Amino acid sequence: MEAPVVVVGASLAGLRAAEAARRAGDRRVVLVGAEEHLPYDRPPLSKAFLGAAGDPPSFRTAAELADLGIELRLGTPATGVDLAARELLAGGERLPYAALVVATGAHARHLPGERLAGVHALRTLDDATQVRTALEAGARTVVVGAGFIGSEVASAARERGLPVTVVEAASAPFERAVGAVAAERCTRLHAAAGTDLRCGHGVARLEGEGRVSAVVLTDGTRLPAELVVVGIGAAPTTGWLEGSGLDLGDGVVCGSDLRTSDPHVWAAGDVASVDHPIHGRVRLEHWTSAAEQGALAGANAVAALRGEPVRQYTGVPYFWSDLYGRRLQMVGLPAGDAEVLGEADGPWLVLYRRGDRLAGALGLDLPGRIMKFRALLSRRAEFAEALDLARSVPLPVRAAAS
Amino acid sequence: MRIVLDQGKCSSLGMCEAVAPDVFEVGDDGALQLLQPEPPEDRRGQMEEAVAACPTGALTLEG
Repeated sequence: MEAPVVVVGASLAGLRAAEAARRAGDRRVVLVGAEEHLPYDRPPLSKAFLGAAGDPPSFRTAAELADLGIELRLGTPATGVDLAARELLAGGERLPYAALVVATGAHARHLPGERLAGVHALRTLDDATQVRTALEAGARTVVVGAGFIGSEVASAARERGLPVTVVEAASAPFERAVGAVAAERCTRLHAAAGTDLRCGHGVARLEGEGRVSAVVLTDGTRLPAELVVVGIGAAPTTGWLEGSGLDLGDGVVCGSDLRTSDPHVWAAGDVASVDHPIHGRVRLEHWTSAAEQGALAGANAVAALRGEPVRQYTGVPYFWSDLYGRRLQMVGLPAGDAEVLGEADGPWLVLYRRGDRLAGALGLDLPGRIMKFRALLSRRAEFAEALDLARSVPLPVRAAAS
Repeated sequence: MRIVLDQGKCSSLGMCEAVAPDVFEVGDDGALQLLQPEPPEDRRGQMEEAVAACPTGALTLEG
């Protein structure tokens, strides 16, 4: 029997890869996932899901996946790959493949002492359910890391009227994601909402016996806590590939067509270190890049099996965050110099310039503007053109709080 | 072919506009406008791409 296309990793990138592989031909497609859950949407886990009841929707029901002809192997963590034999090792089995798509994503980084009860990362549905339960119980919350996950958890705590402290080692939130100028503006969002943001502080240790009771900072400050959420970034899930012979760097190294160092293996999503035709080597952890890369890797894997041409990944990076009822959106990358337009309270726009080109755009409460800049980025427009566009229509004024 | 928008699901993220800016446009108030609710048949592939790109599943195609 002809070997199937095997997709390992059953989140967004893996699901889109499996769907695309099925659409591209009549070959069998097997989707292997470590978690027991059907593929589910992750952005809501740190946003709407922390505020309201109910599971975030699965992308597809089991019946829909069966109709698409996707064979599911859930609760089956991959442990290795035999490139020479073309077999995936997962759940104690060897699964032969004609082509393999690696979409194992990323996992949350941890602090020492994180095993105490009441201390959580926020990456999976199970993590988010535990954080939500603690917030419902009115937990005094300390968030470690003022990145997007941490900031969204702080937002959820404040929306419930709970006191929350955010500890960040850098001098401002999101500094790596948006650059220094914009990060200063993001600081205001926390302050306006009553979040106690402490930047420039490291965590010395977590205190508690069995259950966490406090976070102790490197300057000796002791922050009492019943819930600690650790949002200090994610690392690509490549441990299971160590020693396989696959080229690994910051993730699975692949070309602009998402093919890895092995011609029968492709990569997509958070785990993929992609040679982007515009941005150079990037590993993106965004919803849209996972969706786009997944679909492309699945289609390319089938195309290559048929000897047909493959396509390049040219997607423009895009992420969004919902904080305290405000919307942040970023397209492109925060490279080079930043030009800031708009009042500090928002709506505001930051344009990033690399040489004479537009590199990225970040907007607060500008849902009607940001995609115009994405269009400019996709055709490598000059910075001057972006600035003209930004100035041609005055930024909307913030509606009075009701 | 008709585009059906579920306002309750739309979150103004604009991925549809990124795919087809002459068909979809998010306004300053965050409301998505369908500039062409019934695009011509030769654009079906692109409309399917726009529907698939929506992070909240707010778009469907009818007909």
